[in-house]
Amino acid sequence: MSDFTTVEIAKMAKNQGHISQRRYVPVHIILILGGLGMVFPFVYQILMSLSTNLQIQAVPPQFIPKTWHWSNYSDVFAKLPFLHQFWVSIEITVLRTVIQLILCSMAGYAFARMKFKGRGILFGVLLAILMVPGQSYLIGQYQVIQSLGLLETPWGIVLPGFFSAFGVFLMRQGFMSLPVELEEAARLDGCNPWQTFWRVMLPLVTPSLFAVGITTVLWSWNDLLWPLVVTTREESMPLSVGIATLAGQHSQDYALMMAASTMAMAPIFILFFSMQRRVIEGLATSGLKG
Amino acid sequence: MAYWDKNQTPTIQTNIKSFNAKYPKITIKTNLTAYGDYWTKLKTQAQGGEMPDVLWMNGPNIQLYSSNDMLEPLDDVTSQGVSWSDYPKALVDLYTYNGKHYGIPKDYDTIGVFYSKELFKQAGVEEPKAGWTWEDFHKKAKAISDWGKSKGIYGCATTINGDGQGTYYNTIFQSDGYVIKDNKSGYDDPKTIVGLQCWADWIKDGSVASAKIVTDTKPDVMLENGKSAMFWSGDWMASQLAADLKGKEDNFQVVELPKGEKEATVIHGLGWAVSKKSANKAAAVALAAHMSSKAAHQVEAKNGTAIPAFNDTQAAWVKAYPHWNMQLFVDAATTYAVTYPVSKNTDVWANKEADILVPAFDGQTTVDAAAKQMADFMNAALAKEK
Amino acid sequence: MSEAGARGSVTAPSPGSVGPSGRRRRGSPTSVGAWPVAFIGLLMLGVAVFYYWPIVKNIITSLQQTNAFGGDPQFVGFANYRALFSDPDLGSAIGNTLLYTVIILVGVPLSVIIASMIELPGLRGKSIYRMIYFLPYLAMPMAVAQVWKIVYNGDFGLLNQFLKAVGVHNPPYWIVTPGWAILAVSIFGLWASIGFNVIILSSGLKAIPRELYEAASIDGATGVRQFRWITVPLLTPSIFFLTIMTTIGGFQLFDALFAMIGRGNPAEPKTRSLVSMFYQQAFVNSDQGGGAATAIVILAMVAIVTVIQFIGQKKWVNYV
Repeated sequence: MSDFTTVEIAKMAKNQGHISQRRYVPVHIILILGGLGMVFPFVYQILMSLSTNLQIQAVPPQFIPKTWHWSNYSDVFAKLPFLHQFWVSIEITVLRTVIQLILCSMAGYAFARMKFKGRGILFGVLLAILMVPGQSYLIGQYQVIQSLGLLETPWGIVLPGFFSAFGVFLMRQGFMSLPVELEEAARLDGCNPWQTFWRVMLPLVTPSLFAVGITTVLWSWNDLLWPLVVTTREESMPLSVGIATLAGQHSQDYALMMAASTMAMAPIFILFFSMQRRVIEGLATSGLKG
Repeated sequence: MAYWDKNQTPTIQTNIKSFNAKYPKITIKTNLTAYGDYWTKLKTQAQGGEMPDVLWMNGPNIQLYSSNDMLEPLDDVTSQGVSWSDYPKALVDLYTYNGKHYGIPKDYDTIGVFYSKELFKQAGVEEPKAGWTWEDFHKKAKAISDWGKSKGIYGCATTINGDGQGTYYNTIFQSDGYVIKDNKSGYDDPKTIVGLQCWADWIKDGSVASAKIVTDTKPDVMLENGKSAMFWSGDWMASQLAADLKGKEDNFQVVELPKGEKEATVIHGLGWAVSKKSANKAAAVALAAHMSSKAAHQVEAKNGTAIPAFNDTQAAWVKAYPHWNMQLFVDAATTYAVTYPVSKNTDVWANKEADILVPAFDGQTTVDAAAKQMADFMNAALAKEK
Repeated sequence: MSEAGARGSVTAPSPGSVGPSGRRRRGSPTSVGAWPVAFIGLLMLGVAVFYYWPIVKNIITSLQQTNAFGGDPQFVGFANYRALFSDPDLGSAIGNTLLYTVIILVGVPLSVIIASMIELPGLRGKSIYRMIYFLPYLAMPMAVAQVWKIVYNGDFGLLNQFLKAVGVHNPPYWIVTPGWAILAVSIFGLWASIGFNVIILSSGLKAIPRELYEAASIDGATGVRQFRWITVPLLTPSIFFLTIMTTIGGFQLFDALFAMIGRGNPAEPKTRSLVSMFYQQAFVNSDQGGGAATAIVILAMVAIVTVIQFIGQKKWVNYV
């Protein structure tokens, strides 16, 4: 593969460009059809957020609201300390994502590329934490956070989420896909394992970092049960918990719920859209040329 | 202080303000958790020893928490001006365990039949009147179902899919049966079975929509959208119906439950309770007492969110729904209401009702067999409660 | 061993299985003293405190009978486990869980096809497609489940309107009919899993050197052959990851059931999963011991399946 020079490859890609767009028409058709199925519920959510509760529950269902009820959005501000809870959500999401990325990439690298006694078993035992129903951790984790005096704090919300077997596993797969030659070269250059990891290997697994990052952001942002249990005051709750308080015992204002969740989703949407291009596309040019 | 209904926040805030006028040094933090999560959270907090000082309690859970020493007995609260005779006896009893009071009644719910005047008119059926019987109900429902069959309209659609409070508990009491007495199940009592069999009969001939139908499309939605003419439900439906049907209120009305062997409705209500491990017990008890005062209940009445439990404060609540005959829910409470059936661990058997009874209502098993099975299960569960 | 071994790279993680190829020993990026501790220590400490400790507590509770709040424990040996295994619902709960898991596993190959189409070199609108296919994953689960419930509605749902239009008489009431309900939930689960799969696979695809495809093109390999002989083999680490995660996730089936089926649904008793049984015991019946025992049994079952998958991976997963 290294027989090609960068110039030649670039030239070839360019030549191919013209032919392929036409060839890709069936691909586009399939992707668009499938895509409709994917977006439909989301479009429907937005339509619901602009309806009244009665319209949403109409029988037969009414998809396009007759009049647009933007008031659902302003109601959210009236009913929730939206900006405050929004800030709590940002705080816990940033904290959790950053620390989890660091811990998981280090551990993932070690599990992928360091040889030590009991590595396989340790990794298996780590994965085991995903195999128990999440609710069975609730009481134990609550007691730990309580004894650390962290109830009601952002740290109390994020702490258990720092340690993610999912993240370690995904990073491990990322590192295992990299050629061993890279590390050898680094080592010959006199890098210690930390330098090899940090300077050489980590930059090459950016797509995996992105995948772990966006997933963590999402989980943290939408997480409900745990933050709900460790926070009781309205102003220390993240947005996901705040929105859940809108539900009534006997009835639910779906329109309001949909408006609130659309507002909560928007920043993630923007973040994802702007990041994926830079991160996933960016790598194509940096490549794996060592 | 913990509660679960967002709509009652204004009531609670007003009452806290008046509490603080009396005790300016006590600051009260409130915690709102949606009903679905409330009990998971409370259970977790209880195991960590961090329950909220003052909290909302309901019937199915009161004995669970009081028998496990999680709640403070509130018998001394009488020294703070609370008098048990100010609340319906059925509710005070609900919150009494082993002769001690563990909760002060906050509000209550009774059951009635909401109906669509419009559908009755279109089908040419006379509207129900107070004093009607099961037979009247059945005839009307059948007539409307027969008329509306091609349009998918039912005479009655209600929460027959496992919600005893809105449906079969009432008919069981109306046929003079019982669900639980002296820690024994009443499901195999022949009179109880009469109160179950009626639903199976009504569903069989199409007068009442089957569990399948009302699970797929909720009965309140069916009523609002003209897909069913009658809906057995609690007064709690009023606030949603009023909001959804704004401008069309006069097309709807509410009437007492039809009577069987006798008149009956189940009554359930919430109570204020205090945590046993509260670090500020004196303040917590004072707050619970304040929330149960006549003045506090009047605030609740005016906001129209739930029927206040304090006797003679309900007039304002009735006025909050001027189009409908809401007085019947209040009258029912003081005359023929029967206490909601609970035990020490209510949820174990109450949850089983849906599994066992729903197939019988839908005709997959006989009601007799289901009732027997339910009684056996329930008696075994009750025996385990110790 | 397979190509991977021949190329002399790191293979499976199980300690006994390392094929000691020459290069590996010589250039071992391995056996580096205390370094692994530095890389893993903090993580494992956190995992021990926040996960292992609750699991250990759980194991102890599973051998006890306690009051509703975990107090007043009495040792009862394996009574809770015996009760679980004699529960007539266990069989159908296992069946439903497995069915759901198998159906959402279909999402993995499906996602491989979607992701490799999206990442075709030079395809216009990649980032839009990525966005679209990732959307279901971004949406709030409660909102999405609500939409699907409406789609599945027996009388008015889009699905049945479509089926009636193409000539199906009496299509089922999906989410209220035993049998159909678990299928409906599984298809929802499959749909919901695509977004996550596509993102993972897109990242994996990006790590495949473009040069390989260029070279293959010059050798005259068609798109399909490139897919078979380059894309799929080099994606196997990602595919393996997704297979494991999907299986583990499938066994945790609960939220979708809770949101779409719920108590009182006539199909509910026949639609329970293992985790619903756990939830019922621990959070509804307040039976701490029984709930704990169920949680441990779930752990054991998933662990066995996962170990089998890890052993099997040597046959098909290629690490460069």
